[in-house]
Amino acid sequence: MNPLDHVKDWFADGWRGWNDFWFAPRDSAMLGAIRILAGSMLFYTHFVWTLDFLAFFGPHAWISRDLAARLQGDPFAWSHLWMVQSPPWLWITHFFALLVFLLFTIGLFTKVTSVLAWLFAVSYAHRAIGTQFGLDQINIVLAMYLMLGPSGAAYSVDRWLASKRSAGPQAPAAPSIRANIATRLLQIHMCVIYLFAGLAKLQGPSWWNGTAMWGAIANLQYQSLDMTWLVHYPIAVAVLTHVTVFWEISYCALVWPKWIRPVIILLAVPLHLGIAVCLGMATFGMAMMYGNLAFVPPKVARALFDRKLQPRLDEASLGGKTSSSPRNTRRRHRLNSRVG
Amino acid sequence: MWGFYRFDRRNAYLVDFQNAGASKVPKSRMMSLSLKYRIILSMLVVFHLAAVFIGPWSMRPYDSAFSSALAQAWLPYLRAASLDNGYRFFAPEPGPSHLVRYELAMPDGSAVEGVFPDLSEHQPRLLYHRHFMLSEFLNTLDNPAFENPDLETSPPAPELADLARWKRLHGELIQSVARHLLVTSAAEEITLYLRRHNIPLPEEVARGVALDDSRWIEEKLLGSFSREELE
Repeated sequence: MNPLDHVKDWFADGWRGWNDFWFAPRDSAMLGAIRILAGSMLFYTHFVWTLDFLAFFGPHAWISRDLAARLQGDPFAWSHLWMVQSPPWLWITHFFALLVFLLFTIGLFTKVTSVLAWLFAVSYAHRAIGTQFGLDQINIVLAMYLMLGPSGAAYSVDRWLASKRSAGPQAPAAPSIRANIATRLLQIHMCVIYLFAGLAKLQGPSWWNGTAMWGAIANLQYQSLDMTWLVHYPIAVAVLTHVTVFWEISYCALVWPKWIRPVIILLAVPLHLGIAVCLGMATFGMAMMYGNLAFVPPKVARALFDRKLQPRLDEASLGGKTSSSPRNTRRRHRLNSRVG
Repeated sequence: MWGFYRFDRRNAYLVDFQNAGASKVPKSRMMSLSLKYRIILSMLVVFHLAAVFIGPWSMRPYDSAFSSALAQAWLPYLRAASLDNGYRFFAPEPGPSHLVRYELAMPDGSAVEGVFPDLSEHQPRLLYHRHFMLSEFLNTLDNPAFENPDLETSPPAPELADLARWKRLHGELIQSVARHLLVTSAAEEITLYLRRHNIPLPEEVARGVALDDSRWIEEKLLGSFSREELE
């Protein structure tokens, strides 16, 4: 075999791997589950603006509209709120945005509301410069990929309405390439987020000498649960500090091999739960956990949510037999494809 | 990343090993997308993932000439899709927090004092956090580099122009916050202070010193404004 053949093989393998990675169909069940969770978070995040709406977006806002535009500094940071200044119109557009987030969460008109939800999330983030934090960033990331994928194909009112129209048990939507691409993009985006979160910490001495976690738990403005008793356990503080950095930096590599993925994903729970419970950022902690669900197989969502639906489907399509033999599995798959 | 799928020739199915037990996927559906569409989609994916990476990679102040150039090329997309985030949570390290204390002179001659964020006033927690980020933003824009005499005298033109712009915007931000407080309180005058709450030393806390002890707190005047000045 000459060297050129090796190069050709290498490219051929790469292209095949690329195709397998991006263009294999995937069940949209997990996207549907993430839509409910992330949609609820989008709704809540923007609902909270309502409680002091004009103080942040009104004519005499903390950061005036003109100043916010100058802080953004370029025309690409678009927002519908640049064009709306009068309080009545601000309220109308705000309630429309809340309605969009609500419809998106329950999965009604999802093809439209998913796009609008992402647009509104970005639009508010651009206008609300100076008052944002990680929650807004992960909200936008989740909304973007739920918009790109068929997030309304499972656990949605759209799906339920389709089932009503078909006058019979509705099979789950067929796996789709769109669902796979959206999931893959979310997976990689989560890797990038954690990679840079970890790399940036390497510049801080306290992340090396093991005291960084003390800086977080002793910060009174963040504190929602007093963990300062850890001052008597410096080794525990150091372990928490180091595990955080190692986990964040290695996430992008270790989350892919199947055998260690559950460990890596499960480690996200205490990390983000700690942020949620101890540092007063329940919303951010939960939104990050929702992002991690991209690595959980869709069959987990099916196992959790389809218990009632699946036996009915099996009975309807297989004449009452619920065998999971390869023959019946293939037959069920064909039936599902026709319905989806 | 490669090789998570294996083609099962006997059953003509692709077995998705990545999804550990997920349904078998008929090969025909995987190949239902034509080569032309797969190439177009691949290019879009690469473009987008490049943006996802360049966004945090090029975030100041730790950007390089190369990452900045790439960020400039991707700027419209990065900004329009709000992908220009650093994801530097608690980095480079958890530092002091910043609040804003203000004193209002009311028309009847009385004085009112307040602080934001204020957990007793701003509920739920997310609303408190919005106010907290605002007070932090007032500190972030107050870049210590402005007070660096080396930067003021040796002019790396673009850097200096950029710093001057942020310095001007910082001044405008203080005025905007002052204007908001004056309008909502109907006060005549306002004085704003940036309050820095330093991280208490572990050994002091172990000795029983409270987290809100005054020794951890510093204040800096941001400015005084009358209603006429800001109208």
